[in-house]
Amino acid sequence: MVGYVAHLFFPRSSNNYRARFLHHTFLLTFIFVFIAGGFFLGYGRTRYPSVLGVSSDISISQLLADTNQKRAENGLQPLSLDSRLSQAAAGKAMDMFGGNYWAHNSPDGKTPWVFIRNAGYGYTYAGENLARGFSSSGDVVNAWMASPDHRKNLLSSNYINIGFAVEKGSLGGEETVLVVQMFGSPAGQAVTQVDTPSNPVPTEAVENIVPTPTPQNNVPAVITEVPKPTAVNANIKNPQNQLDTVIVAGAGANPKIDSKIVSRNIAVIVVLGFILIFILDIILIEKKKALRFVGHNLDHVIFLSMIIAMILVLVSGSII
Amino acid sequence: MLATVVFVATLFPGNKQIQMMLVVFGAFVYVLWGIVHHYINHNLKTKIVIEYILIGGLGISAIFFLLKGSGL
Repeated sequence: MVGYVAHLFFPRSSNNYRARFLHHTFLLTFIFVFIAGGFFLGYGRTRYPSVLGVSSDISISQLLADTNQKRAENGLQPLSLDSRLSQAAAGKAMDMFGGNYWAHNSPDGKTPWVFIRNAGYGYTYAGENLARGFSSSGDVVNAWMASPDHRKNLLSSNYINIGFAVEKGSLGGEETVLVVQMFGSPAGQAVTQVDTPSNPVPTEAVENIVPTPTPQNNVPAVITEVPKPTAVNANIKNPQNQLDTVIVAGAGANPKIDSKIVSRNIAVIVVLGFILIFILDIILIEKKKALRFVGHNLDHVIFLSMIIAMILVLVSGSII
Repeated sequence: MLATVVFVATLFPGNKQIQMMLVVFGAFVYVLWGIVHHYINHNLKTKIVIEYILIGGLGISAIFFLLKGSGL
């Protein structure tokens, strides 16, 4: 048994001084296993979404807590959750899934302010941050804080209220979790935050809009679920000391197995395994000074390291 | 060159098609680089070319597994 394991992983006479895993037949086998595994997991996600799918640990209460913590660290007053802004955020999330777009303005010209006004929130200042593909509330807020424009929204002294939506669905063929964050200060209400300049407040000031990304070709949508708004307990008390209810557009329960994490971990472990085998090959063959006609192991290590970097880039979330 | 591929991929967050194309391009460059390198060193063999192609294929198939399996 030990001998066979050594035959697989280490260069020795039994494998022509090249680990068996690095022989062409095994490499080809791994390629087929990856391709077949991808189709298998993809089928499992489609057929059994309650078992295998994208899950997230993002909650409105945690998003609010993290946002207000960042504001406190910067000497700003906390924002209070407003159900109208949350409803506007939910409407925006549903519109993005329904229209299959990822932008502040919809392809048919709807701005974020349309959703805010339609939710019955008359504003003096308003703002919006968007995020997708993250797994935790902390990661979302940290990503916004790391971007100058999003950070400006989060730390603006012009806002009093905030609203969130966390929505799961398919966007551009990709199953993902959208987070919409809406900011506002009600019309006619003085902003009493620190550092507020004493200038006349415009009636429809639009604050710190992050520029819409360059329009991309719309991929035909494969929307597997149409979000339906449901009222859920946000587990946050409003000024009247009652538990607030916010409209969350069909977030749904998390599947038992997170397909994103499973596929990422398997891909990383296998590719890392090959990198280690190549490094072992470099070390041991240098020692044995065996002559072989094989590719440069260092080239393979560098290329596979790039693959791991790409895997990490692909699973990371994005913000606009 | 490969680091540039990764960097360019970060400029297209959420665009999996472009990111996948970058991976395929990176694999192509890597295979080409291997062939040129061994040709210059006068030890280019069919077996070596196949090895570079298979390692490139391994990288692409790992990314395919990730994209297909996780619904990205």
